[in-house]
Amino acid sequence: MPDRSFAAIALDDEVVLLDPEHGRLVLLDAWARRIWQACGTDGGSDRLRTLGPRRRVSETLDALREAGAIRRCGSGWSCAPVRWL
Amino acid sequence: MNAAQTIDVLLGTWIVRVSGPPSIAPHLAAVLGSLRIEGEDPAPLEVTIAADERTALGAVAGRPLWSVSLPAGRGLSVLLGQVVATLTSLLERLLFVHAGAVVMEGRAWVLLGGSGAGKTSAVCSLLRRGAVYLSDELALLDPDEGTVVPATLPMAIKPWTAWAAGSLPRGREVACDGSARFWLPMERAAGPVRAHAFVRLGRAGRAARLVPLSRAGMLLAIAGHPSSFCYRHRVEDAFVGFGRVLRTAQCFALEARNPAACADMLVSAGRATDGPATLRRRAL
Repeated sequence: MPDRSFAAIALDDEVVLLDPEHGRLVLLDAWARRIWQACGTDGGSDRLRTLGPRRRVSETLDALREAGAIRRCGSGWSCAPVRWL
Repeated sequence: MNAAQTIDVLLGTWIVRVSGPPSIAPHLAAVLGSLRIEGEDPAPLEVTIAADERTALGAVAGRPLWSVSLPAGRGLSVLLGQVVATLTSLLERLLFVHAGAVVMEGRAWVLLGGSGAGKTSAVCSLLRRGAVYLSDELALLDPDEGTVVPATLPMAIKPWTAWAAGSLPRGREVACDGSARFWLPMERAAGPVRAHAFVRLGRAGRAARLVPLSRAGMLLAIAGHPSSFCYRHRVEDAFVGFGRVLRTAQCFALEARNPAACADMLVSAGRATDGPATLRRRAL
């Protein structure tokens, strides 16, 4: 997956990401937002294990990866570059 | 002799020059005449309707932009759609979304829905209950001010719209086009009004419900709808601007077979000062 960059807006406890190149929006609900934020922190992989049931976390990671919001980074994850608006 | 007429329609800061046979050109001018554009400076539009009323051309600043076939008896509706679409493409600061809008209790409500969703009939019902008209099809938003700007074109009342609405609000018929009547409500907003609520209209089962929708969900709904998001050069403007307006707005989904029949529900929500609890009513 090529590195994408997103613009982002936080609305209440949700985040909307805009992929400006493709004009596509991605809605992260409160749960997905927590997973996504954990991916962007040091020790994120450890933190992911504490956030909820492993299967649910895994499904959310897959969805985020498909959306281009995160990518594999060694044994963990990293977030695509984000510009907060 | 059916000599072409040329009419310059001054719509605030926007000029539309209409040229064509007297059987249609003055009617288009009349339908456009109630629109006022402020806070933007769109390039002038020239609409030229062929003598046989079967085609029309649109040019902006002398550059041809579109040509369109005019169906017999429905040319006015098509031309109005072209003019509105042209306006949306010329906006540089204001945002648009395909939606109706009214003022209730001094605050603007934007009703978002696709064609046939019941926007016009819902707007009619709300106007009959004391709301003030902002727009029928084209909601203009000022993202810097967080307001809805009046776009007071006449409502296009089709037979089924009239049936769903029950009766029309006070106003006058500006023109007609086949079975559609262009109806200009009497009570119209004179200036921008703070955007208070966005309602996504959707068809649903037996029980009509007005339920809260997240602001992020509404942003996605707007993006999936004809809006400033449709223009590639405005996607980021739309993202930032709608996001900014939504930050202070309430958002709902109205699930109903006939949104017009839920006007009382919307009026009740409009009178509420805080966020709505889920409102329900019996099957309609």
